[in-house]
Amino acid sequence: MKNRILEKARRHLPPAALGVAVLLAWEIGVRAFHIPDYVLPRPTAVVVYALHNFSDFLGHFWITSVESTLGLVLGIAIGVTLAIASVMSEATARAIVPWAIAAKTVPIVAIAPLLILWFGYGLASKVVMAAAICFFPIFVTTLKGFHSFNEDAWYLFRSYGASKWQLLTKLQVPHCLPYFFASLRVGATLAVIGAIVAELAGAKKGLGFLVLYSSMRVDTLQLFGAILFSSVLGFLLYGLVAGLDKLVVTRMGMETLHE
Amino acid sequence: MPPSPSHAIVAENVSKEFPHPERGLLPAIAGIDLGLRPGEHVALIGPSGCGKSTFLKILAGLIRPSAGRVAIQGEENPQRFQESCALMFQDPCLLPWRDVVGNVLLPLEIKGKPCDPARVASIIDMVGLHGFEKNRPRQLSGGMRSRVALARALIDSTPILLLDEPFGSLDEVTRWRLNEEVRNLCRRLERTLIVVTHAVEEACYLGDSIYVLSGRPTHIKKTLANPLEREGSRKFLESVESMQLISLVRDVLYEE
Repeated sequence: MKNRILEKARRHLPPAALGVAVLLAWEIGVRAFHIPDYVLPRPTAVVVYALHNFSDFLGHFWITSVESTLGLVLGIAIGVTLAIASVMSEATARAIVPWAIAAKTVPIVAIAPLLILWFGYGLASKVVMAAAICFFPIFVTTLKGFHSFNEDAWYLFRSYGASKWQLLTKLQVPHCLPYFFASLRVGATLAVIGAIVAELAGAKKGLGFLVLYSSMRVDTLQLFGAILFSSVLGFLLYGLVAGLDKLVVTRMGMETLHE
Repeated sequence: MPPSPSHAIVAENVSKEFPHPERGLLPAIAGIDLGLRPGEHVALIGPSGCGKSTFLKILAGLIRPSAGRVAIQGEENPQRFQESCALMFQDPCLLPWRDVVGNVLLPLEIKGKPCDPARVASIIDMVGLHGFEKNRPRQLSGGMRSRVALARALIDSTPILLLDEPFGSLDEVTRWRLNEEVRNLCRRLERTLIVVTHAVEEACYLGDSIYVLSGRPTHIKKTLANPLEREGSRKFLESVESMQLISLVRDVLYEE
């Protein structure tokens, strides 16, 4: 027990200490050089401002969380469907994979204005943008996961006369879970980025909208508040997925790919 | 010994070539003849990478030979070999999300066959896993995992067992204990056994006949009969006769 606490402390103390040191240097630097708030506000001022205007921030935070989460869900649906289609048929894999890689080379944020044009200023364009940015790593890593089993296990299943469907459901899908959840960790952060980028391109609410609005008004405190809440959102969504990863994969008797 | 229909396994002039991107077709197996009567135990021994595992997979109907003929229990359609053969590899290939019983039952589940709980219990007991039924693979030692794989190979009562270096990754004591158990179980259950190995002692202990294979492309260098008494593995390994046999097999193996 004592060892575990020590081990945890040894792991978490250095990054925590670094974070505190940076914040302290920031606070002291701003005070010492009399940097005005509209250029760089003090971290304490940002926190005080954020707490004062908590309900306002929360409204925008909620909008962006819904967009990111729905985008992630849509990204999972697209990524996993493509991965399953590629596993079930080699011809499909050969047709899809090059396009998926080509799609990755397109700077996806550039299509944000187009999505606003097509889907409007509301929820839909943000969800589509979030999905478009996160489906690729989910697809590629999940597909890799479907092939992650031991070759001899595959021979063994075939020696029992397993059908393609049995191979998929009894061997490939369970073996894929650690990969799927690893891809979700990446996808979760990307979905938040996608939603915020789409909001920057055109929105009436949300943290991206707030970033744009406050920067136009040179309200740096509000801008930092929006950045703070965006970071919290990314952190929360990642934490949720990471928690699910540990729970499901460990329960399955396997090990997660991320530490 | 010419193969006859009464044989459990017949291989006639089996060859296998694999395509190589630059060098065309590379021969892996160059004409193997083999015949096993029901209940016979055969050991195939050869250098690593000589193609013995490929040959075993051909016998299991998992790889098509480039030439030659294979018949398992008189059946020549490779898609039906699974009805007669059970395989076991060096890696136990257990499913980490299933407990011992779940792993053992896998072949029956995939084949859609019913499972008799009493039979499952008796097989698990036979391989010495009684009391560990609910354990997951990660809660078991390497030897116990191999026992689960052995139980899984025995559960469907297929008359033929094909083992590919089954205990190669285990420590000496566990390996020999399991070799003894495999031999005794196959005798008791009257299973025909082919075991592929690169350990001479193991081949001499498990095989009623020992087929010594050459390097790639592999062919049978020599077949040696093993008439020796093999009750306990230690007693066998320490006897003068077995040492002579081991030395003879080694001579053939080292021969250029």
